[in-house]
Amino acid sequence: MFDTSHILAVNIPVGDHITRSGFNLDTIYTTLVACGIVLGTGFYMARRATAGVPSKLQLIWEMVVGTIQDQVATALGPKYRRVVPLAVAIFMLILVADWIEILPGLFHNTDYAPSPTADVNLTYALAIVVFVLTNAASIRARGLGGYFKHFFRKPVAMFPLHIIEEIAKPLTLALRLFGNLFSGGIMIALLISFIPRFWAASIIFTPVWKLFDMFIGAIQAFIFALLTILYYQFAIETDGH
Amino acid sequence: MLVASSNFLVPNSTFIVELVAFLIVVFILGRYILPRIQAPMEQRQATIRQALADAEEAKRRAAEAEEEYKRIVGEARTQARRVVEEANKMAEQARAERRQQAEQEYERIVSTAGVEVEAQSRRAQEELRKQAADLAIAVAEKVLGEGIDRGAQASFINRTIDQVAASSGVATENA
Repeated sequence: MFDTSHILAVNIPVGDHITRSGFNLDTIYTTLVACGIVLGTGFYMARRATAGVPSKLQLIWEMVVGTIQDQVATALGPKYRRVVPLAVAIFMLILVADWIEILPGLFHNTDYAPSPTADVNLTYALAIVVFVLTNAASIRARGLGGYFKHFFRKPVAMFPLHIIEEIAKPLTLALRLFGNLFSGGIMIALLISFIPRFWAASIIFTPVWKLFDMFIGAIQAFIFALLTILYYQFAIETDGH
Repeated sequence: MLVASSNFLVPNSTFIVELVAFLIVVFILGRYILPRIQAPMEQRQATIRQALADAEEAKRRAAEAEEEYKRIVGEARTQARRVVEEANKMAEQARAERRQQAEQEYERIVSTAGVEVEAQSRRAQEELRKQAADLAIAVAEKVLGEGIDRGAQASFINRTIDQVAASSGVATENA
Protein backbone atom coordinates (compact mmCIF):
# COMPACT_ATOMS: atom_id res chain seq x y z
CA MET A 1 0.00 0.00 0.00
CA PHE A 2 0.95 3.61 -0.40
CA ASP A 3 2.66 5.45 2.36
CA THR A 4 0.09 8.20 2.90
CA SER A 5 2.08 9.93 5.61
CA HIS A 6 4.37 11.30 2.91
CA ILE A 7 1.47 12.94 1.07
CA LEU A 8 0.01 14.39 4.22
CA ALA A 9 3.38 15.89 4.96
CA VAL A 10 3.53 17.76 1.62
CA ASN A 11 4.03 21.45 2.21
CA ILE A 12 1.80 23.39 -0.13
CA PRO A 13 2.43 27.11 0.18
CA VAL A 14 -0.91 28.77 0.77
CA GLY A 15 -0.86 32.52 0.28
CA ASP A 16 2.91 32.64 0.32
CA HIS A 17 4.66 35.36 -1.64
CA ILE A 18 8.21 36.37 -2.28
CA THR A 19 8.13 39.63 -0.40
CA ARG A 20 10.59 42.47 0.03
CA SER A 21 9.74 45.64 1.98
CA GLY A 22 6.03 44.85 1.84
CA PHE A 23 6.02 44.26 -1.92
CA ASN A 24 5.04 40.84 -3.28
CA LEU A 25 7.68 40.58 -5.96
CA ASP A 26 6.15 37.51 -7.62
CA THR A 27 2.76 39.22 -7.95
CA ILE A 28 4.34 42.42 -9.26
CA TYR A 29 6.43 40.46 -11.74
CA THR A 30 3.49 38.43 -13.10
CA THR A 31 1.31 41.56 -13.17
CA LEU A 32 3.90 43.34 -15.27
CA VAL A 33 4.14 40.32 -17.57
CA ALA A 34 0.33 40.33 -17.94
CA CYS A 35 0.28 44.11 -18.58
CA GLY A 36 3.09 43.66 -21.08
CA ILE A 37 1.20 40.93 -22.94
CA VAL A 38 -2.03 42.96 -23.02
CA LEU A 39 -0.39 46.21 -24.13
CA GLY A 40 2.11 44.43 -26.41
CA THR A 41 -0.53 42.50 -28.34
CA GLY A 42 -2.71 45.62 -28.25
CA PHE A 43 -0.05 47.84 -29.82
CA TYR A 44 1.09 45.14 -32.23
CA MET A 45 -2.50 44.63 -33.39
CA ALA A 46 -3.37 48.36 -33.43
CA ARG A 47 -0.42 49.10 -35.72
CA ARG A 48 -1.61 46.51 -38.20
CA ALA A 49 -5.34 47.05 -37.71
CA THR A 50 -7.14 47.13 -41.00
CA ALA A 51 -10.69 47.81 -42.08
CA GLY A 52 -10.25 45.03 -44.60
CA VAL A 53 -9.76 41.38 -43.68
CA PRO A 54 -8.58 41.37 -40.03
CA SER A 55 -5.81 39.15 -38.67
CA LYS A 56 -6.66 36.54 -36.02
CA LEU A 57 -5.23 38.77 -33.29
CA GLN A 58 -7.27 41.73 -34.51
CA LEU A 59 -10.32 39.49 -34.68
CA ILE A 60 -9.87 38.45 -31.03
CA TRP A 61 -9.48 42.07 -29.92
CA GLU A 62 -12.41 43.16 -32.05
CA MET A 63 -14.55 40.40 -30.59
CA VAL A 64 -13.75 41.53 -27.03
CA VAL A 65 -14.13 45.23 -27.79
CA GLY A 66 -17.28 44.67 -29.88
CA THR A 67 -18.97 42.56 -27.18
CA ILE A 68 -18.14 45.07 -24.45
CA GLN A 69 -19.21 48.00 -26.65
CA ASP A 70 -22.57 46.31 -27.29
CA GLN A 71 -22.95 45.50 -23.61
CA VAL A 72 -22.16 49.10 -22.59
CA ALA A 73 -24.42 50.55 -25.30
CA THR A 74 -27.32 48.31 -24.21
CA ALA A 75 -26.92 48.76 -20.46
CA LEU A 76 -25.69 52.35 -20.22
CA GLY A 77 -26.38 54.06 -23.54
CA PRO A 78 -24.03 55.95 -25.84
CA LYS A 79 -23.27 58.58 -23.16
CA TYR A 80 -21.11 56.11 -21.27
CA ARG A 81 -18.72 55.07 -24.05
CA ARG A 82 -15.86 55.94 -21.69
CA VAL A 83 -16.69 52.79 -19.68
CA VAL A 84 -15.56 50.67 -22.64
CA PRO A 85 -11.78 51.08 -22.09
CA LEU A 86 -12.20 50.29 -18.39
CA ALA A 87 -14.19 47.12 -19.07
CA VAL A 88 -11.85 46.04 -21.88
CA ALA A 89 -8.81 46.62 -19.65
CA ILE A 90 -10.44 44.63 -16.84
CA PHE A 91 -11.34 41.74 -19.11
CA MET A 92 -8.04 41.51 -20.98
CA LEU A 93 -5.83 42.02 -17.94
CA ILE A 94 -7.73 39.48 -15.81
CA LEU A 95 -7.84 36.98 -18.69
CA VAL A 96 -4.10 37.15 -19.33
CA ALA A 97 -3.31 37.25 -15.60
CA ASP A 98 -5.47 34.15 -15.02
CA TRP A 99 -3.84 32.28 -17.88
CA ILE A 100 -0.32 32.99 -16.65
CA GLU A 101 -1.00 30.20 -14.19
CA ILE A 102 -0.65 27.58 -16.92
CA LEU A 103 3.01 28.51 -17.42
CA PRO A 104 5.55 26.58 -15.38
CA GLY A 105 6.51 28.74 -12.44
CA LEU A 106 9.82 30.16 -11.29
CA PHE A 107 9.27 31.40 -7.80
CA HIS A 108 7.92 28.67 -5.62
CA ASN A 109 8.94 25.25 -4.62
CA THR A 110 6.12 24.03 -6.84
CA ASP A 111 6.22 24.09 -10.57
CA TYR A 112 3.68 26.77 -11.36
CA ALA A 113 3.64 30.52 -11.85
CA PRO A 114 1.02 32.02 -9.56
CA SER A 115 -1.54 34.27 -11.22
CA PRO A 116 -1.37 37.85 -9.99
CA THR A 117 -5.14 37.53 -9.64
CA ALA A 118 -4.49 34.89 -6.96
CA ASP A 119 -3.20 37.78 -4.85
CA VAL A 120 -5.76 40.10 -3.24
CA ASN A 121 -3.52 43.10 -3.99
CA LEU A 122 -4.46 43.04 -7.68
CA THR A 123 -8.11 42.10 -7.18
CA TYR A 124 -8.58 44.78 -4.52
CA ALA A 125 -6.95 47.32 -6.83
CA LEU A 126 -9.34 46.43 -9.66
CA ALA A 127 -12.36 46.47 -7.36
CA ILE A 128 -11.40 49.79 -5.77
CA VAL A 129 -11.15 51.41 -9.20
CA VAL A 130 -14.59 50.06 -10.12
CA PHE A 131 -16.01 51.13 -6.74
CA VAL A 132 -14.67 54.69 -7.02
CA LEU A 133 -15.70 55.14 -10.66
CA THR A 134 -19.21 53.71 -10.24
CA ASN A 135 -19.86 55.86 -7.18
CA ALA A 136 -18.53 58.90 -9.01
CA ALA A 137 -20.88 58.10 -11.89
CA SER A 138 -23.73 57.72 -9.40
CA ILE A 139 -23.01 61.14 -7.87
CA ARG A 140 -22.78 62.67 -11.34
CA ALA A 141 -26.07 61.10 -12.43
CA ARG A 142 -28.08 61.71 -9.24
CA GLY A 143 -26.33 64.72 -7.72
CA LEU A 144 -24.69 64.53 -4.31
CA GLY A 145 -28.06 64.77 -2.51
CA GLY A 146 -29.60 62.13 -4.71
CA TYR A 147 -26.60 59.88 -4.16
CA PHE A 148 -26.99 59.89 -0.39
CA LYS A 149 -30.76 59.82 -0.61
CA HIS A 150 -30.74 56.63 -2.66
CA PHE A 151 -29.31 54.73 0.34
CA PHE A 152 -32.53 55.67 2.15
CA ARG A 153 -34.81 54.61 -0.63
CA LYS A 154 -37.95 52.65 0.25
CA PRO A 155 -38.13 50.62 2.40
CA VAL A 156 -36.18 53.11 4.50
CA ALA A 157 -35.55 50.63 7.30
CA MET A 158 -33.35 48.69 4.89
CA PHE A 159 -30.78 51.46 4.63
CA PRO A 160 -28.05 49.60 6.60
CA LEU A 161 -28.41 46.78 4.09
CA HIS A 162 -28.17 49.25 1.21
CA ILE A 163 -24.90 50.53 2.62
CA ILE A 164 -23.59 47.02 3.20
CA GLU A 165 -24.65 46.12 -0.34
CA GLU A 166 -22.62 49.01 -1.68
CA ILE A 167 -19.54 47.90 0.26
CA ALA A 168 -20.15 44.26 -0.61
CA LYS A 169 -20.03 44.99 -4.33
CA PRO A 170 -16.29 45.70 -4.58
CA LEU A 171 -15.48 43.15 -1.88
CA THR A 172 -17.29 40.35 -3.68
CA LEU A 173 -15.79 41.43 -7.01
CA ALA A 174 -12.30 41.18 -5.55
CA LEU A 175 -12.75 38.07 -3.45
CA ARG A 176 -14.66 36.08 -6.10
CA LEU A 177 -11.81 36.50 -8.55
CA PHE A 178 -9.15 35.96 -5.90
CA GLY A 179 -10.85 32.85 -4.49
CA ASN A 180 -11.25 31.16 -7.84
CA LEU A 181 -7.68 31.71 -8.95
CA PHE A 182 -6.19 31.12 -5.52
CA SER A 183 -7.89 27.74 -5.16
CA GLY A 184 -6.94 26.88 -8.73
CA GLY A 185 -3.32 27.55 -7.84
CA ILE A 186 -3.56 25.37 -4.74
CA MET A 187 -5.01 22.55 -6.88
CA ILE A 188 -2.06 22.80 -9.26
CA ALA A 189 0.39 22.79 -6.36
CA LEU A 190 -1.37 19.76 -4.95
CA LEU A 191 -1.31 17.89 -8.27
CA ILE A 192 2.38 18.64 -8.70
CA SER A 193 3.13 17.46 -5.18
CA PHE A 194 1.80 14.04 -6.29
CA ILE A 195 4.76 13.56 -8.61
CA PRO A 196 7.08 11.56 -6.32
CA ARG A 197 4.47 8.90 -5.58
CA PHE A 198 1.67 9.24 -8.12
CA TRP A 199 3.51 10.72 -11.08
CA ALA A 200 1.07 9.15 -13.60
CA ALA A 201 -1.94 10.79 -11.94
CA SER A 202 -0.06 14.06 -11.80
CA ILE A 203 0.91 13.93 -15.47
CA ILE A 204 -2.68 13.17 -16.49
CA PHE A 205 -4.55 15.50 -14.18
CA THR A 206 -2.25 18.55 -14.11
CA PRO A 207 -2.90 19.49 -17.77
CA VAL A 208 -6.60 18.64 -17.37
CA TRP A 209 -6.84 20.90 -14.35
CA LYS A 210 -4.83 23.66 -16.04
CA LEU A 211 -7.21 23.60 -19.02
CA PHE A 212 -10.18 23.72 -16.67
CA ASP A 213 -8.49 26.56 -14.80
CA MET A 214 -8.13 28.45 -18.10
CA PHE A 215 -11.86 28.06 -18.57
CA ILE A 216 -12.50 29.34 -15.04
CA GLY A 217 -10.10 32.20 -15.69
CA ALA A 218 -12.00 33.25 -18.83
CA ILE A 219 -15.33 33.03 -16.99
CA GLN A 220 -13.98 35.12 -14.09
CA ALA A 221 -12.63 37.77 -16.47
CA PHE A 222 -16.00 37.91 -18.19
CA ILE A 223 -17.91 38.10 -14.89
CA PHE A 224 -15.70 40.91 -13.55
CA ALA A 225 -16.13 42.99 -16.74
CA LEU A 226 -19.87 42.28 -16.93
CA LEU A 227 -20.44 43.16 -13.26
CA THR A 228 -18.47 46.39 -13.72
CA ILE A 229 -20.91 47.41 -16.46
CA LEU A 230 -23.87 46.27 -14.35
CA TYR A 231 -22.67 48.25 -11.30
CA TYR A 232 -22.39 51.28 -13.56
CA GLN A 233 -25.96 50.62 -14.66
CA PHE A 234 -27.17 50.41 -11.04
CA ALA A 235 -25.22 53.58 -10.26
CA ILE A 236 -26.82 55.71 -12.98
CA GLU A 237 -30.38 54.40 -12.70
CA THR A 238 -32.48 57.19 -11.26
CA ASP A 239 -35.72 55.28 -10.63
CA GLY A 240 -34.59 54.14 -7.18
CA HIS A 241 -33.84 50.50 -8.03
CA MET B 1 14.18 38.23 0.32
CA LEU B 2 11.80 36.24 2.43
CA VAL B 3 8.77 34.12 1.85
CA ALA B 4 6.02 35.77 3.83
CA SER B 5 2.96 33.91 4.94
CA SER B 6 0.92 36.56 6.71
CA ASN B 7 -2.88 36.75 6.30
CA PHE B 8 -3.35 36.49 2.58
CA LEU B 9 -6.63 38.43 2.63
CA VAL B 10 -4.87 41.59 3.82
CA PRO B 11 -3.24 43.69 1.12
CA ASN B 12 0.25 45.15 1.48
CA SER B 13 2.30 47.72 -0.43
CA THR B 14 1.88 45.63 -3.57
CA PHE B 15 -1.63 47.07 -3.80
CA ILE B 16 -0.20 50.48 -4.83
CA VAL B 17 1.88 48.93 -7.61
CA GLU B 18 -1.08 46.88 -8.86
CA LEU B 19 -3.37 49.92 -8.77
CA VAL B 20 -0.92 52.09 -10.71
CA ALA B 21 -0.23 49.30 -13.22
CA PHE B 22 -3.94 48.79 -13.80
CA LEU B 23 -4.64 52.52 -14.22
CA ILE B 24 -1.76 52.77 -16.71
CA VAL B 25 -3.21 49.83 -18.67
CA VAL B 26 -6.67 51.48 -18.70
CA PHE B 27 -5.18 54.79 -19.82
CA ILE B 28 -3.01 53.34 -22.60
CA LEU B 29 -5.80 51.08 -23.82
CA GLY B 30 -8.33 53.90 -23.89
CA ARG B 31 -5.99 56.47 -25.38
CA TYR B 32 -3.83 54.59 -27.89
CA ILE B 33 -5.14 51.11 -28.58
CA LEU B 34 -8.94 51.08 -28.55
CA PRO B 35 -9.41 54.03 -30.95
CA ARG B 36 -7.25 52.17 -33.47
CA ILE B 37 -9.44 49.07 -33.13
CA GLN B 38 -12.74 50.89 -33.07
CA ALA B 39 -12.04 53.00 -36.19
CA PRO B 40 -11.45 50.04 -38.54
CA MET B 41 -14.37 48.20 -36.93
CA GLU B 42 -16.71 51.10 -37.65
CA GLN B 43 -15.21 51.53 -41.10
CA ARG B 44 -15.74 47.84 -41.84
CA GLN B 45 -19.29 48.01 -40.57
CA ALA B 46 -19.89 51.02 -42.81
CA THR B 47 -18.39 49.09 -45.73
CA ILE B 48 -20.62 46.12 -45.00
CA ARG B 49 -23.67 48.37 -44.68
CA GLN B 50 -22.74 50.02 -47.99
CA ALA B 51 -22.19 46.66 -49.66
CA LEU B 52 -25.56 45.45 -48.42
CA ALA B 53 -27.24 48.63 -49.63
CA ASP B 54 -25.48 48.25 -53.00
CA ALA B 55 -26.60 44.65 -53.25
CA GLU B 56 -30.15 45.71 -52.45
CA GLU B 57 -29.97 48.40 -55.12
CA ALA B 58 -28.55 45.96 -57.66
CA LYS B 59 -31.34 43.52 -56.84
CA ARG B 60 -33.92 46.24 -57.30
CA ARG B 61 -32.37 47.22 -60.64
CA ALA B 62 -32.29 43.63 -61.79
CA ALA B 63 -35.97 43.28 -60.88
CA GLU B 64 -36.73 46.47 -62.80
CA ALA B 65 -34.77 45.26 -65.80
CA GLU B 66 -36.68 42.00 -65.74
CA GLU B 67 -39.97 43.88 -65.58
CA GLU B 68 -38.83 46.00 -68.53
CA TYR B 69 -37.77 42.89 -70.41
CA LYS B 70 -41.11 41.23 -69.76
CA ARG B 71 -42.94 44.36 -70.86
CA ILE B 72 -40.90 44.62 -74.06
CA VAL B 73 -41.35 40.94 -74.86
CA GLY B 74 -45.07 41.30 -74.22
CA GLU B 75 -45.25 44.31 -76.51
CA ALA B 76 -43.25 42.50 -79.17
CA ARG B 77 -45.59 39.55 -78.93
CA THR B 78 -48.64 41.77 -79.31
CA GLN B 79 -47.03 43.55 -82.20
CA ALA B 80 -46.08 40.28 -83.87
CA ARG B 81 -49.60 39.01 -83.46
CA ARG B 82 -50.92 42.20 -85.02
CA VAL B 83 -48.48 41.95 -87.92
CA VAL B 84 -49.46 38.35 -88.55
CA GLU B 85 -53.13 39.27 -88.37
CA GLU B 86 -52.60 42.14 -90.81
CA ALA B 87 -50.62 39.91 -93.14
CA ASN B 88 -53.38 37.33 -93.02
CA LYS B 89 -55.95 39.99 -93.73
CA MET B 90 -53.92 41.35 -96.60
CA ALA B 91 -53.37 37.89 -98.00
CA GLU B 92 -57.09 37.21 -97.73
CA GLN B 93 -57.84 40.48 -99.44
CA ALA B 94 -55.30 39.78 -102.18
CA ARG B 95 -56.77 36.33 -102.67
CA ALA B 96 -60.28 37.76 -102.90
CA GLU B 97 -59.11 40.37 -105.40
CA ARG B 98 -57.34 37.77 -107.50
CA ARG B 99 -60.37 35.60 -107.37
CA GLN B 100 -62.59 38.45 -108.42
CA GLN B 101 -60.21 39.34 -111.25
CA ALA B 102 -60.12 35.74 -112.37
CA GLU B 103 -63.89 35.56 -112.29
CA GLN B 104 -64.14 38.77 -114.29
CA GLU B 105 -61.56 37.44 -116.75
CA TYR B 106 -63.52 34.25 -117.02
CA GLU B 107 -66.72 36.17 -117.59
CA ARG B 108 -65.01 38.30 -120.17
CA ILE B 109 -63.50 35.31 -121.97
CA VAL B 110 -66.74 33.45 -121.86
CA SER B 111 -68.72 36.42 -123.17
CA THR B 112 -66.10 37.16 -125.86
CA ALA B 113 -66.22 33.56 -126.93
CA GLY B 114 -70.05 33.69 -127.04
CA VAL B 115 -70.00 36.76 -129.26
CA GLU B 116 -67.42 35.13 -131.51
CA VAL B 117 -69.42 31.95 -131.73
CA GLU B 118 -72.55 33.93 -132.49
CA ALA B 119 -70.79 35.95 -135.19
CA GLN B 120 -69.35 32.80 -136.72
CA SER B 121 -72.68 31.12 -136.53
CA ARG B 122 -74.28 34.09 -138.15
CA ARG B 123 -71.63 34.14 -140.85
CA ALA B 124 -72.16 30.45 -141.42
CA GLN B 125 -75.90 30.95 -141.64
CA GLU B 126 -75.39 33.81 -144.09
CA GLU B 127 -73.10 31.62 -146.13
CA LEU B 128 -75.46 28.75 -145.93
CA ARG B 129 -78.41 30.89 -146.89
CA LYS B 130 -76.53 32.34 -149.83
CA GLN B 131 -75.46 28.93 -151.01
CA ALA B 132 -78.98 27.56 -150.52
CA ALA B 133 -80.43 30.42 -152.56
CA ASP B 134 -77.89 29.86 -155.28
CA LEU B 135 -78.59 26.19 -155.20
CA ALA B 136 -82.31 26.74 -155.31
CA ILE B 137 -82.01 29.09 -158.22
CA ALA B 138 -79.71 26.70 -160.03
CA VAL B 139 -82.12 23.88 -159.42
CA ALA B 140 -85.02 26.02 -160.55
CA GLU B 141 -83.14 27.03 -163.69
CA LYS B 142 -82.49 23.42 -164.47
CA VAL B 143 -86.12 22.56 -163.86
CA LEU B 144 -87.58 25.47 -165.72
CA GLY B 145 -84.97 25.38 -168.43
CA GLU B 146 -84.60 29.06 -168.67
CA GLY B 147 -83.16 31.93 -166.82
CA ILE B 148 -84.67 33.28 -163.82
CA ASP B 149 -84.53 36.83 -162.81
CA ARG B 150 -82.22 36.44 -159.84
CA GLY B 151 -83.06 39.78 -158.47
CA ALA B 152 -86.77 39.15 -158.62
CA GLN B 153 -86.52 35.74 -157.02
CA ALA B 154 -83.98 36.41 -154.38
CA SER B 155 -86.35 37.99 -151.93
CA PHE B 156 -88.75 35.15 -152.36
CA ILE B 157 -86.09 32.56 -151.79
CA ASN B 158 -84.82 34.31 -148.75
CA ARG B 159 -88.28 34.49 -147.28
CA THR B 160 -88.70 30.80 -147.88
CA ILE B 161 -85.43 29.98 -146.23
CA ASP B 162 -86.46 32.08 -143.25
CA GLN B 163 -89.68 30.23 -142.99
CA VAL B 164 -87.87 26.90 -143.13
CA ALA B 165 -85.37 28.09 -140.60
CA ALA B 166 -88.12 29.34 -138.32
CA SER B 167 -89.94 26.05 -138.52
CA SER B 168 -86.72 24.11 -137.75
CA GLY B 169 -85.91 26.41 -134.77
CA VAL B 170 -82.87 28.14 -136.20
CA ALA B 171 -82.50 31.79 -135.19
CA THR B 172 -82.95 34.01 -138.27
CA GLU B 173 -82.96 37.52 -136.93
CA ASN B 174 -81.43 38.96 -140.07
CA ALA B 175 -84.04 37.48 -142.46
